[in-house]
Amino acid sequence: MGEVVFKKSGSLIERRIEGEAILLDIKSGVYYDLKNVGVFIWEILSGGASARQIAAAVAENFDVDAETALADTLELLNDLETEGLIVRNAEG
Amino acid sequence: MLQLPRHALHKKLVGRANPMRIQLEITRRCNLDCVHCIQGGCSYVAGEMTAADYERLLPRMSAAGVFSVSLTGGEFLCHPEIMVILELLLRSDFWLALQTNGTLLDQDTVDFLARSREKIRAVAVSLYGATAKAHESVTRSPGSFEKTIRAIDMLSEAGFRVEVISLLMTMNQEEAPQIQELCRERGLFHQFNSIIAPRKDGETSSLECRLSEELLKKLPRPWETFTENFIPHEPDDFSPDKTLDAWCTMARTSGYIDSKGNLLPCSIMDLPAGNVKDRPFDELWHDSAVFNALRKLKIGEFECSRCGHFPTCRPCPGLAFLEHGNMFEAPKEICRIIELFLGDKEVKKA
Ligand code: SF4
Ligand code: SF4
Repeated sequence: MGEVVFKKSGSLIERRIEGEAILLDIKSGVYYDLKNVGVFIWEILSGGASARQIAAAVAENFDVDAETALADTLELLNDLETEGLIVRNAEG
Repeated sequence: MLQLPRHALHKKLVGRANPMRIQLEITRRCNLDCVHCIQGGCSYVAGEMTAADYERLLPRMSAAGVFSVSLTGGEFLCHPEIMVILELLLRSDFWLALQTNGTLLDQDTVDFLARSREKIRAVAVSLYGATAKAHESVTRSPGSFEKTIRAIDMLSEAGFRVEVISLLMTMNQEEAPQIQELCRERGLFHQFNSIIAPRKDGETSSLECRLSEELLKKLPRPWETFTENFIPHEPDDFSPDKTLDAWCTMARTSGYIDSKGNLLPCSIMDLPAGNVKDRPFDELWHDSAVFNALRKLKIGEFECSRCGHFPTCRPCPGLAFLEHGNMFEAPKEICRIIELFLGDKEVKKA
């Protein structure tokens, strides 16, 4: 069994405005915004990535330990998935 | 907090004067001849934007942060390269809205648009009556009623959100209830309007079609059919030292590009920042002296700020500009309608 890979939903329009990522979900008409680490994670998701890969990149680029990085990453991925902004892609 | 309510986004972007919504007047050509049209003779205008111009413009708009684009005219389907322009727009990452009279839409075009339906937020169609007689007394184009109704039905069947917009004038106001019924039966969003503005070239004969007070009173209150675009606000947003951010979005989060490529603050405010064929959109948007001056205007500078109906009623500088050539004066047609429903205005003491 491979890891779960997350990628961005196809129904989003995204803009980078003064360092923030503003997303518009055209299915619902709802806007979202991501800041700081959220923007960093969002960029990684462009190519598709697993929670573990994202957390490792977060720990490497921000001043946090691996455990906190993983917890924060899982929390954001959960929020993004609940809102339908990312989808799962099982990969072998 | 991930979700960003639309008013919170507006507040965030308005302070940065970040363009969010742009209207593109694709062409001034039109196949109808509506009595009230503010364009004044919708014929070919030399120097019209071409598909190649749009190919350069759209990525600049996207990079500047624009999310939604509305196509208007004239009748946008009259542009000779419209299918190429639509391809470009549908390939770009914008949320689109279309405004059309519907008469040129055929099944092939509807099918073409339906392939990208999720990118098209809504299609607004102008309807002036529930019968050919009333509708065509406005469009002055025989056969237009049947074609518009057919377009509304084709679009609905293809799953589009169809928004029917009806301007009521002396010649079609009697059919207001039947128009409402026609839309209700089809489950369509519907909006009345009764504001007839002078033509952009200053010609005023269409103003004779404005409804009398007696006729206006028989209609639904005008603002009751306008609800979706309101931006929630705090009372403090309306103090005289504040800018117009709470309601007037021109040059702040919205703008208009006319068929020749002039970037204007709003469809009815003819104060160009410059031309997108000569200078990139984002540079014009941020550097224009006119736009920057408009962004700094304070509520206290407007006659409306001293009116007892403000801020229930708020000044539309564009309409005042069209009416009197002076955006600071009260737009008299709005006053006439508001006073009819809310009573005579008291002038606030300084
Ligand atoms: S000038 Fe009037 S129509 Fe234009 S954005 Fe301002 S309030 Fe709206
Ligand atoms: S009633 Fe007239 S003067 Fe008063 S706020 Fe409205 S448009 Fe302005």
